[in-house]
Amino acid sequence: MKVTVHLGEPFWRQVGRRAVELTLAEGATLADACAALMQFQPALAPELENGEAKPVWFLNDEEGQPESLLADGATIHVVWPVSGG
Amino acid sequence: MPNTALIDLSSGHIEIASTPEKLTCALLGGRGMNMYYLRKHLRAAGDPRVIDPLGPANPLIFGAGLLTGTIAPNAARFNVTAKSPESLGLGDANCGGFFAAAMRKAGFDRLIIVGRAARPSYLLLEDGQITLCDADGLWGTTSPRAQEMLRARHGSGTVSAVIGPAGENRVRMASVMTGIKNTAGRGGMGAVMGSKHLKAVVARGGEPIAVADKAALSAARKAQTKYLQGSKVVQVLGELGTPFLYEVSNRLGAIRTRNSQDNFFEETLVAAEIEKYSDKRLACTSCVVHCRHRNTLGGEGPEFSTIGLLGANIGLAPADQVITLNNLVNELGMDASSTGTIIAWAMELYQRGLIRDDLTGGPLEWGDYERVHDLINDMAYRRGFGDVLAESTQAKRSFPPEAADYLIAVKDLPQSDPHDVRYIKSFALGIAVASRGADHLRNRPTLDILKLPDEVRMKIFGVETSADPTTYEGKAGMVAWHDDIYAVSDCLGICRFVTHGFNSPHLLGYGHFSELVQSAIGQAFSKAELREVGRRVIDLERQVNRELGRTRADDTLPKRYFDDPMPARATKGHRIDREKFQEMLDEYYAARGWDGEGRLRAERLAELNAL
Repeated sequence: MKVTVHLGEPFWRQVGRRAVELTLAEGATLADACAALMQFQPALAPELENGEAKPVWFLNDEEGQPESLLADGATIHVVWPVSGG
Repeated sequence: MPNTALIDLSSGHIEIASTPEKLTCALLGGRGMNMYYLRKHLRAAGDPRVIDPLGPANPLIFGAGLLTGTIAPNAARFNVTAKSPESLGLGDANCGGFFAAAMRKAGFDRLIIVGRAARPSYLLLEDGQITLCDADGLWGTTSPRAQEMLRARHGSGTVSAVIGPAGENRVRMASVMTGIKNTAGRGGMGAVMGSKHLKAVVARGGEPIAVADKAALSAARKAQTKYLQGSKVVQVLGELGTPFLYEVSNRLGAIRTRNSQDNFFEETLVAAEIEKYSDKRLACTSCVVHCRHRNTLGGEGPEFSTIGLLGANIGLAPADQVITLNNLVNELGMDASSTGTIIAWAMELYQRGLIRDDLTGGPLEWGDYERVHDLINDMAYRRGFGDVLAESTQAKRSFPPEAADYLIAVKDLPQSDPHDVRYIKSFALGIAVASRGADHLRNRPTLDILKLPDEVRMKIFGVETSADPTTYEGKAGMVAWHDDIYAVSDCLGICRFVTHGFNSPHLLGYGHFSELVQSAIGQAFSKAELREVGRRVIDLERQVNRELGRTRADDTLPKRYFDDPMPARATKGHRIDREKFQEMLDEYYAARGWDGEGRLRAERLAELNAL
């Protein structure tokens, strides 16, 4: 199945584009998508695993968990968890 | 020796005295010491509740932080304090830039300005002397133009804090400006300045600020800069500035949109779009972050707050138009947060038919750029419907009673942050109890969305808290913790973006502050003593508000935040439960050591009275 991962600030700048399409096996979870994303673009690994601010993953506009199951055509957003400005 | 000046604009009398050491020990400087003098002068003038904030008795206080102007990291800031003409309560605005360092170098930590000049004037601070000068030719100019003229008049080293036309016209959300965009924005301090016929405070000359141990301060600066530069938040703020926050709030479904009727907006306002109009990143005195954009449309900024409140909140999507409005409010000297909030409020009232063309002078539709551009000018010059909105929250007197139900303000101060607080309960409590009204920079907890492990949160806050931002449990202690550390950083003159707890647990905390203070003034403050300063400042502000007539009933939220669930995205359905909110408030008062009505205990009040 195919899912689309939209990369928020500052993650997309590592890749040079705002969205990445991933092909995953049936039954894949958000954690699998994260692993596939890091494999596709290793430069993202330090950002996604950053201990200071672990990213928030949204699955079809809801906050997702690592074990959240994905469906074909799912839309994922990876966002940095900051809230003050 | 740091100096405090008392300036009576009515008589022209100026009194200069050393800043009392006892006060430095108790309140450090900046915001804390300003509060001491605000309380003192308001009480001396009579009943604080009835003092006209735009009358001569209202003191206007400029106070630099204890470390401002030294090489301490991000120590650029000062506070401008008075009774607020916008909220009619405690008024206090914090500002960066270069003015406060220049004010200290010219010989002054603090200016307490009372009275009213007979004609438009400005104060010149130079080499320990203060002169009241005629503002001939300056009155009526925009903020950048006034500063340019003052530089031409007094030389290239001149730095000024000025008001624009909005301040002159006593617009209740008028700001004090320095540089192109640095703004003491909250609470209408520019209107107070205008009411005193004071166009500017100008600083020049002087020597670098003397410190107790130059080598130790230099070493602390070096080590702390390295530490800060390792923070991802600092790195991203340096690369992108605050506009990157828009996307985060918008994706969550927490960006105030169309006066909080909606909670997400267009992607046209994300950082990548804003930076198309940015050609340089700028910084304040001793800054290690460099977060401020210079834009190609003739100004600086915009910050996230302006993008949200003069963008999404008024339904305006094109980035270039939002940036142009940002530049306009800065030139006129108006607080972008209040301006955007008040215009959005009026737009919703018009949408609901609560106000009509006979009052507004024509349609007032979401996203109508031309109309908003004209309206902001009309507010600054008090023309037509702009004159009504120039009253900010006090404009409710001109509207039907139900209009207040749609006003996004607390204690009559429009909410500063474009982030909707209904999802993050600690944030909701924070804006409800913030001393100057609905404001995120007083106590905003930002760490509870990081999902930090229990032991890490316990180490930071010292009390049980929850990692779930949507629960009501443990939020009171978290807010109290932020109250204190933010107050201390304001007393020191240090920027929020490097203060522990503001978006990261890896910024400067009490230990770092202690090192800086010891090396700067040669006096040891333990971490606990510094936190106690924070507590003292919060208590002092509580008492000032008490004396201005504020009660527990004022620690509340806009009606919409209680009654209307958020409409979409991950925050859908969230609102603030009234009963649970009151429980949080009880817990918060207990955490602060106040009684059930939010009053200081008698012994604490006696301590403050003895300062």
